[in-house]
Amino acid sequence: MNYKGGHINIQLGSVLFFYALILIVPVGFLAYYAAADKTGSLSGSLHQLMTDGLYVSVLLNTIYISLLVTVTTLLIAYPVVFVLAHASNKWRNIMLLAVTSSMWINVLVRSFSWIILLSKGSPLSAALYFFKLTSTETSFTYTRLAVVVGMCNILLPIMIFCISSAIPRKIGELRKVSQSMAASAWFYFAKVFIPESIRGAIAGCLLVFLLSLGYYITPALLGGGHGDTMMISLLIEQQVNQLGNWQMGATLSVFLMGAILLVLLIGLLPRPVRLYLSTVLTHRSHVK
Amino acid sequence: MLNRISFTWLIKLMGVLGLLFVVLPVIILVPMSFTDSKYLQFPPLSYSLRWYSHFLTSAEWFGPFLKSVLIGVLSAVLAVSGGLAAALGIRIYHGRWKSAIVLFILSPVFLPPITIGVGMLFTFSKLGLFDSYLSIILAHTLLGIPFALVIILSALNRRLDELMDAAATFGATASYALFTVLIPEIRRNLLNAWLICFLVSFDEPVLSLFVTGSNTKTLPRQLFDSVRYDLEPTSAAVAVVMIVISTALTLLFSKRSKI
Repeated sequence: MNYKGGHINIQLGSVLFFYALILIVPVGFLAYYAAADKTGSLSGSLHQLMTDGLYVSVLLNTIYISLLVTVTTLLIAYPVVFVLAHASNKWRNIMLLAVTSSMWINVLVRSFSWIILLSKGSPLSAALYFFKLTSTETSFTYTRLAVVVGMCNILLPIMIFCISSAIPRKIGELRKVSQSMAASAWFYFAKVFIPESIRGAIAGCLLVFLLSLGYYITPALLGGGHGDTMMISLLIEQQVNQLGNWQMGATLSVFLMGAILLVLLIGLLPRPVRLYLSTVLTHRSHVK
Repeated sequence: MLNRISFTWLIKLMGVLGLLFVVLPVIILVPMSFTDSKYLQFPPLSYSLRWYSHFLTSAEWFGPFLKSVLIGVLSAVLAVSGGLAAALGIRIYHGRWKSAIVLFILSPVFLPPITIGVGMLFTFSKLGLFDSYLSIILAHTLLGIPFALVIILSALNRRLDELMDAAATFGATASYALFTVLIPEIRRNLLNAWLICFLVSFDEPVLSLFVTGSNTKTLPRQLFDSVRYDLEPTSAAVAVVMIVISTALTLLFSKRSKI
């Protein structure tokens, strides 16, 4: 097992071959359908994509919703990470268990319970009405707010894990040190805690943004494609399954994949990320 | 002094509220599944188990459940094998393209499942494999390999390398040593990887939406259709069953230290 070669071996080769069949071929079909169908060419449907008001507005809406979700998730996750980082061991384990267990739960199930929570007869809308925040008991389902809330809820554990993985283990001691130097809590938070965890926050934001661009289940269930809840994934499904327009569906899919790969490349270029990748792959923890 | 207490307290309060926000959907789902009425309501006015029995007795729900279990088991086995092969290959390979290959193998995780799904729809339709068990099992295997790879890769260390070398000095071929030395050593990790791949496949809604038809309808697909179109309490019961299964399996796999 100490043979280390520069050629792709059979183990790797077999998996790559499987990937070629199951991943590359479908993507190839996507490109093929986007490029050449009976009625148009690639430039044709891409052009339509860029200029037709419907498609442009859906793309912009998708980006807007994804940005909203990313920012909201970041804002909600930071206090949670703060609590996790400074909690005693027992409490931290309990909280981590709660967060992790919500990750096991199916996306469908979680979106589904938000439908219930946000509909007319739920305690939430009753409470809002009680506190005079809404004029009548309203249902929030099929609104953009519902989609953002649902997606936040589902992507929050990911953000929490990303940020907390960047926090050094001795953060409690750092806090005590800052307190002993008479720093205010706000100072500690802004000048110590945030800078330490900012790397994880950036990685988390990138990941959450990418995931929410391509999200299908939550927008489909909580938004339904009405009004301003239409996201690109819903459009793809509509085009392919309901309208049978394979060409447009393929073009949209290729576009989405291209956009995600582009954002990913931009996010992976920075030097710290490449260093991290190289340390992971060479199993050395102190690469310079 | 007072200033310090109130700021930290505020942040901690926000943190606790954030945590509650995370677990909220699960908490409300459980009592809702025991409702007696035909509609979903929270809190339920009367309780019964009728929706659970409906789940167990109706072919509409129990069929997909069995299919999901079968597909999950098979695709997890394939995914773990693929992940093991890939992990071993990564350990051995030291060429220029190592990072690129690893990223490529990990790519199904961050590529939107909907694009993969649409592509697979096209491919499998052209091949006449649409709505077959083979296509959904292969699709879920693809999704599972990245997870298996990461878990197994973290389990392979230098000690195992040396163990395999020692086996070679005793005259074992690589494949013989694989089955008699390596796999028994990392069997716990392999089982954990299997569990993760099973849960990934069992819970997977998007790909199943595109690749399955009426024949191979998986449970998430059935759940999605039901929530989207008829919204009845059986969905809540099914959801709770899925939660219980996921939790039970995870606890089972972490407690058994004798295996």
